Parts: sequence; C-alpha cells; structure tokens
Amino acid sequence: METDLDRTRWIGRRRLLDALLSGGIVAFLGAVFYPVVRYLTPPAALEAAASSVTAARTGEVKPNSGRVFRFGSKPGLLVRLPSGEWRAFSAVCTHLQCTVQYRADLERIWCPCHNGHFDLTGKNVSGPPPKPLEAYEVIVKGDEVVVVRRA
Amino acid sequence: MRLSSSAEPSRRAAVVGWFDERLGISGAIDFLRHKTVPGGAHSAWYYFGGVSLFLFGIQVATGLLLLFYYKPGTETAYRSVEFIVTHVPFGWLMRSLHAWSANLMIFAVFVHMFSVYFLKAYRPPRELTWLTGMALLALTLTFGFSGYLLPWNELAFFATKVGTDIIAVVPLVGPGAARLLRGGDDVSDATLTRFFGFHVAILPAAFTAVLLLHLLLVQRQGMSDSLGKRDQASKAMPFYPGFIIRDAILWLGVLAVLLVLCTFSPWELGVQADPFASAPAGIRPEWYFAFVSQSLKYLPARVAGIDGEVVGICAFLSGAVFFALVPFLDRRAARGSRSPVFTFIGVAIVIFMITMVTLAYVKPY
Amino acid sequence: MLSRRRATALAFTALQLASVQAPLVGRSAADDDACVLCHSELPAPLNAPVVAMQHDIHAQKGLTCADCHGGDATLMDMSSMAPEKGFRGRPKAAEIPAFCGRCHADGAYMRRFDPRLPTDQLQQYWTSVHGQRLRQGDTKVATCVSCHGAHGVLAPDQAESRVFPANVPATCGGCHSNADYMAEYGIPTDQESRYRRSVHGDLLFVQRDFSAPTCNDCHGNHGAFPPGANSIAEVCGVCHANNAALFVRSPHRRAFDERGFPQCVTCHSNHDIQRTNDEMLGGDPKAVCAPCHPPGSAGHQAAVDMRDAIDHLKGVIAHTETTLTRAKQMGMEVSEEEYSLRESVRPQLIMVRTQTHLADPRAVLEAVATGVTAAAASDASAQATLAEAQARRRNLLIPLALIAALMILLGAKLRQLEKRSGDEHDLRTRSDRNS
Repeated sequence: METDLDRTRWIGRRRLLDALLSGGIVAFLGAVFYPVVRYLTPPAALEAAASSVTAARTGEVKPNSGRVFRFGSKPGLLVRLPSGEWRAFSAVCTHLQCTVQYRADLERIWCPCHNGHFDLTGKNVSGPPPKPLEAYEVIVKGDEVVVVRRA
Repeated sequence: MRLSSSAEPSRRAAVVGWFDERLGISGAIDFLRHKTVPGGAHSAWYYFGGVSLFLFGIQVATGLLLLFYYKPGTETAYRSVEFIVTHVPFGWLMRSLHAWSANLMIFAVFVHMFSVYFLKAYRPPRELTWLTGMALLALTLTFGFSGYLLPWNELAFFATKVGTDIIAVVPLVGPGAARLLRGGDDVSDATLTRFFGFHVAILPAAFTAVLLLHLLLVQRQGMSDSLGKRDQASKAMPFYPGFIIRDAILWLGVLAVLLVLCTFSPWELGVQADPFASAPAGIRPEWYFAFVSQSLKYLPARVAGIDGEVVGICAFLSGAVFFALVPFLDRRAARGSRSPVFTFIGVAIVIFMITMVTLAYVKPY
Repeated sequence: MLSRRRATALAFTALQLASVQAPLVGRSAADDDACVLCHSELPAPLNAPVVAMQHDIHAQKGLTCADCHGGDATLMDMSSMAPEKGFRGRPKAAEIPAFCGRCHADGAYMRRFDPRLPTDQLQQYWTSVHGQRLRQGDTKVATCVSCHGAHGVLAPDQAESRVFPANVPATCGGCHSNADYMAEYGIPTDQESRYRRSVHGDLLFVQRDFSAPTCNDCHGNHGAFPPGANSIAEVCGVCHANNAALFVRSPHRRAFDERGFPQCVTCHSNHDIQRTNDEMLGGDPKAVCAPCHPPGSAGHQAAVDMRDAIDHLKGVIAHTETTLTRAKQMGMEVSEEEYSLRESVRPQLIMVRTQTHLADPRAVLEAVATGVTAAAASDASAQATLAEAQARRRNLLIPLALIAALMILLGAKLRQLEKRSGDEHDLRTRSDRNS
C-alpha cells in the first residue's frame, strides 16, 4: 500500500534525478558548443597557400640582398636587385636540391653545395646545375611583397 | 488517475497549446505518445536505423563547420585541410569526426539494411520504405565516394581514378557517366569542383528529401513485427519514453566511441595529390567499395567473349537491382511465412562481401 | 660500258647510301669519289674507314677523305694517292697532332663549321704530359686519335662518343688501366677502377649526373696533366668552392705545401674519393687527423673539439626528430616542423662540416651554436606538438565522463518512467478487474 510518505520520497527522488539530468544535459551541450565556438573563431595565422604567399615587407629587404622564404612546402628566394626591382625564384637548386642564396658581392644567385651560379633571371650560368631556377611573379601591394606562382 | 508531472502542467501545456493553435501538432504529439515499437528477441536490431540517423546528423554538423574553412580546387584543397587540422582550434576534431563518422555511418547503414532484410521487414506494406532505404544507401555511398576526394591527397586521387574507371566499364551509359562525374577524361580540378558540388549541395538535398519520406513512412506504418510472431502487444515498448531514451543512450555511446577514435586514431592528411606521379603500390578504394574492386580482380580477362570487368560490373548492378526489388519478389514473406531461400541469399551475400573486403586488406593481389 | 669493278663499286655505294642514317654528304657521297669506291671493296682492314665514316662528324660537315689525307679523289686508280697530288697518307703517331691541327688549330678555317669550337687544342696538347713525351719520341702516348678515333669521330655531347662524359673514364682507362702497356712509366694503373668506386663515379655512372667530374675535369682536356701538389685545392675548388676557400686560409695549407702533401687529396684521396662522414674527423686512430696529430697535441685536441661539437648538433637534431616521430605516431600533423628542420637546421649541419676545413675549432663551434639555436626552436615546436597530442588524450576524459554520467542518468530516468508506467498499467488492470 503506497503511503503519502512513500510518495513524497518518491517525488523527492524524482526531482533530484530530474535536476541532475537537466544539469547533465546542460553540461553536455556546453561541452558540445565550446569546441564549435572556438572552431568558428578565426585563427590568428593565415594559411600558407601553395600558389601565393606574402614573402616579406618592403622595408625588410634592402636593395642588392635576398632572403629565403617558405612557399608551400619548399623554400623560395626573394631577391631585391640593386635597382630596387624585385625577383623571386624557387630556392631549390636544380642540381642536387640544396637551397640557393643570393650573393651580393657577385650579384648572382649561388648554390654553396657545388658552386653553381644562376644569373638574376634564374638561368644556370656556371657550375653543375643543369636547368634554370623556376621563376615566380612578384607583386608589391602596399608594403607587402607577394610572390605568386602561375600555373 | 494520472500520476503525471503535475509540477508545472500549466506552463508546459500553455506552450504546447500555443503551437498547436498555429500548427495543429496535437495530433502528431498524441500519435507519438501512443506509438509502440515491437519487442522480442530481435529488438536490438531496431536501433541501427536511429544510429544511422544520428551519424548523419554528425556529418551535417561537422560538414557545415568544415565548410567554413575548406577551399575546393587543386591548388588550395589540400592546404586548406592542412590548415584546418593544424591551425584551427578543434579543427583536427571536426575533421576526424567527419571522416570517422562517415565510415561508421556507412557501416551502420549496411547493418541496418541487412537487419531489415533478414527480419523480412520489407514485406508489404513496407515496400516503399525499403525502396527509399535502398536509395538512401546509394546516396550514402555516393556521399562517401565524393567526399573522399575532397582533401585532394594521393590516396584519394588514385582511388577516384580507379573508381571512375570502373564506372566507365558499365555498358552503354558507363563512359558517359564517368565523363559526367569527372568533368572530363581525367580526374582533375574539374572533378574536384563537381564532387564538391555533389557532396555539399546536391546529395544533401536529395538525401534529406528521401530521408524525410523514409522517416515519414516508418512513423506512419510503425516498425515491423518479427516474422511469424503474433501478439507482440505485451512485449511492445512505447516509443516515448522507452525507445527514445534508449536511442539517446545508444547515441551517446556511439559519440563516445567516435571521440575515442578521433583522439587515438586521427584521420591522416596524406600526401598532396600529384596527377603526374605514378600510383603508389597497393592502391585500392575505401573498404565500402573494396568488395567490388577486389572481386573484379578475380574475374578472368574475358568471359564468354565479353570483357571480364564488364561482366563483373553488370553482375553487381543486377545484384543491386535484385536486392532493391526483393519486397516484390519474396512471396513467402509477403504471406507472413518464413522465406529460407531469401535468407540464404542474404547470408551468401554477406559472407561474400566480408570475404572480399578481408582479402582486399590482407592479400590484395 | 661500266667495268665490273666500277659497277660493283657503284652498287655498293648505292647500298650504303640507302641504309645509312647519317649519310656521306658532299663530294664523298657522289659516285665519283675514288677513295670510297675502291676502299669499300677492299677486304678488312682497308674497308674499315669507309664503314666508320658513315657516322662521323667530319663526314656530316661535308669533308671527304681527301680533305684530310690529300690526294686526288677524281682519279680512279692508284695515281690518286701520288705525293704529287698532295697525298699525305696515314700519318705516323708523332705527326698526328699536326695532322689534325692543320684544321683544328686554324681559327679562320674552323669558323666556317662551328664558330663555338675552341682552337687551342693543339697548343694545349703540347703542354700536356702526352704532348711532351711525344716530342721526346714516345709513340705510346695518347694522340688525338687515341681518344677521339680517326674515322667515326663523334661530337662529345653524343652518348656514343668516346669522349662523352660517361665514356671518358673507359677511354682514358684504355691505356691507363692496362698494366702491361703502362709498365715502363711507373705510375699506378688503378685510377679508373678506383674512380668507378668513388662518389663521383657513382654520380656519373649510376645517377647519370653528367655534371659530375670525370678525368678531363680535373686533369684537363688536351692539356692533360696531374694538377700540381699545391694547386689541387684550386681544381677541387671549382665545384667545392667553400671547402677550398677555407682550406687555403687554414694552417694546413702551409703545412702541406712545406711537406709536399697534395692538399685535398691528403685526406680525401684523388681517384676513389668517397662520400665524407663524420668518422673522418676526431681523435680516433681511424680519423684522417691521426697520422699527423698524435694524442696530446694541439691539433689532436682541435680535432676532438670539432668532432664533439658536430656530434652535439647531431644529437640535438636526432632528439627533435624523435620527438616529431612520436608526435606523428600519435596522429599529429608535423609537416611545418619537419620543413623547418629540413630547411634551417640540416643545412646548418652541412655548413658546420664545411667549416672544419678551416681547422679552427672556434669557427666550427660558432656554426654549431647557430645550428643548435635553430634546432632548439624546432625542438620547442616539436615538444609543443607532442604535449598537445598528450593533452588531447587527457582532455578526452572530460567529454567521456560527461557522456558516461549522462548515460547513467538517462538510464535511471528510463527505469523511473517505465516503472511508473508499469505501476500505472498494474493499477489500471487492477481497477479494471475490480470494476
């Protein structure tokens, strides 16, 4: 025979269960929405696109100097000629894939591994490299130097 | 006397009443309240439809999130997925969830289909439910095929190549269909664009429409009783709260499994596709297509003067058509009696598929 | 009326013309070239030149037998080879350089055929060992035809040419590897076999990198001479510029010159140069430093210091790579860290090894320090990635715990609701029965 006391206890237990359940559901929904909200918040880093990349700021590279930057998964070489003009190439030497560098004293692109020389159009002019360096297009937007690889 | 939740009856009733006045939903609510699900020894299988639905929900949610960062196109696709996985907070989780849930959903859909088959739930009046279900299976597999290419990695590129080559083998419509899918004669940027359009727009629309029809049919007709058993009333479970809460518990369990998979075995990024490189050794499509590609390997080059591959593909297509028409072919089940022939055919098909998939992974050559 | 001889000759020539890809052009193709007509019918070895000339650069350029050998090719009998007709015949060994040089050293003449061709071969040849010995009367030495052939000469950039880069070692080896032939000269005859075992040989023969040096790249083409002991660095430095530049600034340069040691060859050998490895440096008796720098000497200590520095950098790199591998196995994407390791840190290791040629530990330590700094950055990134992987696994417990709790609570709620409806059902049944 169900007494009033039984029923009160039963309602109390039910209320506790309901409260715990509601709390659990809220916590669960929070645990679901937290990653979603974090995900949707734009991240700080810009992605490294394969076909165009901001290689440097104009002020960072003086005339008659060069710098290696990352282009996709390979290094690229940004060169600023003595005239101030910008050039960009793949920095992968066509001989045995060392990373080339700009030599201000020679005004040439040079590979330290086996003394390969490339001129400022990327053409292989001396040493073992069999082919010219792949050339990229350089676009200066404001103070950003963007290197683009055309398909 | 109703021991109802007398705590706040007026507020809840008022809200429901407000919607009922405008939408007329009291009939639906009443229906759901009294809906029952058959009990009995086979009732565990009844959950796989719901699991498939849950996983589809996960796919939609994670897919929408991935859309925020994914960029289709041969130059950008791989990098954008790499970006998601390395730089976006919880991006790794969303991507792995999407990939794992896709595989689990395909598995669940197959189990759901076979359990319906073996329980003969396709018998009249549920033929349409079966047909819409087969359509959903086909759409699910197409989702898998189109989505697999989108990260544009080496495995995906060559798997798509092999897959579209197999489609091209179908007589009459094959080459045209393959060109339509590929956007040309090779897997290229055009293919990626098309697959993306299929995957995020066309297939979701079609799937949702067919799914609504499928669910509507299931709701209206109720779930099928086991064959040959009468008087399930005493063992029947009410849809609410019994079945729904059990569904929810099971779905939570599936979610837990998914989370463990994503954390301990995240989906790989792979190597960016290079159309000019040669295919890596041992290339094969994903497991859900593996039984097709593997069995084609065993066919001789020519069968009765016809190309072996054509014979194989036509056999598979005919098998699929036969399977779709089973409700109309199985007269014995329609009468409500056992149908051992069809059961046997089903068992043979399942064994065949499992054997082929196992061989594809263990001994591909 | 054609003589039988003439008819056969005509037929033969026609057959040759029909079958040859690079046919005789110019006047030798005409059927009035007596040299070809007669010699093609003669038994071996007199018909050999005609066959060989089918693939010959001189023939392609329109030159005939008479252009080199003189004589009158219009005369169909032996008078064509009369000295009065300018016939030079077959030159003797000592005459060959001048024989070829008659044209090849004449800039104005060579311009007609290939303005790019150098015309200093003859002059260079006289400075070479071969040329000098030839002048002294040694007819065993190489002359033009020894390397280039007499008939059937091909341009050096053709793969079948005897002076194509990949064929040069065998051409030089034809004499220099023949122990009997070279017996009287007292020089080794194992250069070719040693070269084939070397890194340059591997590059040339296996990797097919034709920029790899062969015999003529170090010894000279026509001015063939072993480089002097104190100018070897210049020769190797044509490609290995950094190493040579550092060496000549190092104390080894003077020390070697004083003792007549052959610069680079002292440590690296000349023909069987192997890929370098770090075991060559250091205090171990097997290192190249050991013969001159005994333990306890300053040089020995310097070698030990440099080797330790390199090993330190390698250890840092290996540690980073291990961390990255672990992170990768846990499913993390590490392509960016791998890139920086490949592009910034590993090249620094190459730079460090190059710096050893200055034989100054300070330079090596400085380069190592740069490398270690770069590696530390990579390592920090790798550690962070690994930590992230481990954090993900730990943080998984939160949602799993939540899910487990929710499943339990739902189960309890389910039991409660079903019990309630069960009680309801019982009550209804009881009241039905009672009513």
